Amino acid sequence: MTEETMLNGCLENNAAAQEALYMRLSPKMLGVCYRFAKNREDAEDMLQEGFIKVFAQIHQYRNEGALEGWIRRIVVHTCINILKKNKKFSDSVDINYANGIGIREETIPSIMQAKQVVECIRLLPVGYRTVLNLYAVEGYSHKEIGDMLDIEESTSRSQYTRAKAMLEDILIKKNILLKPRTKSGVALTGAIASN
Amino acid sequence: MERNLDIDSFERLLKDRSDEFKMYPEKRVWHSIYNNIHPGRKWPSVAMSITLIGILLLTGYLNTDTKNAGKRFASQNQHNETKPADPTTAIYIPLLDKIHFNNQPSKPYANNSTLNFSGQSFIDNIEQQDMSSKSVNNLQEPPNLVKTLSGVNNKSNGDNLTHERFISLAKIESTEIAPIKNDPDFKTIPANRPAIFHNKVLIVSLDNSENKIRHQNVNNVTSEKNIVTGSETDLSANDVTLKNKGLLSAETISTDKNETLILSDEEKAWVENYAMYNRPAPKKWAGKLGWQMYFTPSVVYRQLKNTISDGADVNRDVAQHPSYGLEIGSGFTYPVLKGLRIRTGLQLNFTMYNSDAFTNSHPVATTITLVSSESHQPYPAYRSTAYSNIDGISAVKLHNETFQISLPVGMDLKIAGNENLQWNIGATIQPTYVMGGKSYLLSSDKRNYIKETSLLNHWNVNAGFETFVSYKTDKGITFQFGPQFRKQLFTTNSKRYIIQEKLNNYGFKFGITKLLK
Repeated sequence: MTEETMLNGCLENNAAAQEALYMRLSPKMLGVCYRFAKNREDAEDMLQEGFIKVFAQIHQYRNEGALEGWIRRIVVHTCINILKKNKKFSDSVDINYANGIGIREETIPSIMQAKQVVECIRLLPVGYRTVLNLYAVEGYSHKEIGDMLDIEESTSRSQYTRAKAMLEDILIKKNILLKPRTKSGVALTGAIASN
Repeated sequence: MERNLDIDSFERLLKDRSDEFKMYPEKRVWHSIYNNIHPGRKWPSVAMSITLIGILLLTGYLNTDTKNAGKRFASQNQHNETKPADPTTAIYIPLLDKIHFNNQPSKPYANNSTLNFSGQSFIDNIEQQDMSSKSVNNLQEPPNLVKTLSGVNNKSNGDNLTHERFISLAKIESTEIAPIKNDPDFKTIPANRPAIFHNKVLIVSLDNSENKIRHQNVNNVTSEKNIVTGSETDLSANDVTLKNKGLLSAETISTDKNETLILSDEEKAWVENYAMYNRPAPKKWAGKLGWQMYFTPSVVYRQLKNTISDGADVNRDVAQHPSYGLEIGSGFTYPVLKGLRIRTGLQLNFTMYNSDAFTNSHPVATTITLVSSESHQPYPAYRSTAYSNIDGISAVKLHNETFQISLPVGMDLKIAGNENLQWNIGATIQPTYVMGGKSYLLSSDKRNYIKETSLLNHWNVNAGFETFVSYKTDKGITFQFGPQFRKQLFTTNSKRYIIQEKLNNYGFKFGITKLLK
């Protein structure tokens, strides 16, 4: 089923078209939700609510930009709203202490690098994680992030700087990033950089 | 959206890796979305469930439909030798509720299966007392009567008014029956119709002042204004006027004089046969079906197992202690064989198990190891927790709890004893829904506990084994007590979590069962 067919079907509230669109985009969108959520179940709840909004508001899509991008923005906004509603931003982790504990590599087999990166992002405190996700991954500006999270733009910038530094430390500690940092940042390990 | 243009290579790689990441949601997510966006069309599983429940209810209804059962029985006996009715028991007497009548000279009832009357007021009265078609459908006519009545017009045709005739039933015990005030079936009975009972024709009249039905013996009909009937107290007496309150009026009835209502042997046999086999079906479960209530305090043990370990016993890595549980239930028991009862019901269970741990002043990052549902490979899931398995600021006892609702289905077998005092053994299988609880998972490095309820398995199955002594009182109440062992067959948490937990409850059950009548 082509994207146009799916879109037209969704506009007519056709269940088959809606399911086709969901099947095509839900894995990637669940990945988005998972980066924001506490666990998989929360991520699935976010995905569910996001797609309900997508199908409810599909008539507002104006064919300006990719459909996937439009859906992704709705899903991201849904995640943020749920986090704000649940006051998840107050939950934080002492990252220094966390680094001290470390992760015993022998108990964690090697898995897909993308998942490693995502899991490292999710190790960040929720406030840092959210800002980093929105800025570095989703491409929102600090001003937009400030509006979305009801914080100052400068707060978004400072949170992002700290989040980025923490994430780098975590990635280095897990041997996903190599020391020292290069001029343009840090180098990924050979295993990841080669992908 | 304003895109950040001075993104460095780290951020770019971060974005690329993140964009590559995909997860496949559970099917239930789509089902929930579907049900939400199509509220009028619930997911087929719901419709299927409703259909199955409907089929079960219909099957149950049909199997307990005494009218149809009687109808089937009567049908089976249509061509069999008829059996005489037992005069000492309550029987159903067929009444003639709709009568084919016209202004033509009538023939004897027994010969053409019709009664013939004339008179408009009588006709009006009859029309007002028509019974529901439901009664017609539930009746079994004798073969020759059915032939006579089929195709008869139910409307006025000139001077003739033809009503389809059918037979209704009235329960009569001896000469008097219980008040019919609250029984919708009997309220519809138009009284004062000729009926047949023990080879005699009777008229059942409604006495509104006493709210009772009595029957009268009708020997024959002799004139236009007088019906020769038997009295209520003396069935052989004549010249008793009917008590008609809005029912038939004797003055309006005219029949051929001296015309005696005579039944053929075949019709008599059918009537008695019908009455015999349409007695109310006895309640099969009466005196057998028992309603049971019980409660079982218990001690809860658990067994941990690492599904991907190299054989190390994870139970040695934790300090844990059994705690208490409680089971409360209610259900039904039914004997299927001598000494063997089946039972089912609904029960609530509470289980608790304790782990010794320590608390820290702030949460720390740790992982639990999960198994990917896609690749079936283990991976670390990151969590934060303030509970340590090794050391900390203060000691704390972590309560692993579940609240369950179960549907036990099983049986009890009598091992020894007499009618009142018995020793039994029993077993049940218990599909269980875990409504909620608390679960503290052991971290991958076994250094921490993580409070995590999202991995709790909501569906599980338990098996129960018990032995008990029961004592039955003269009033049909049975007391029982004895030890019970309840084993959880599947792990408490999701199979994705590598450490399986299975609970064993050792309890002592107290129960009371009352036989239903």
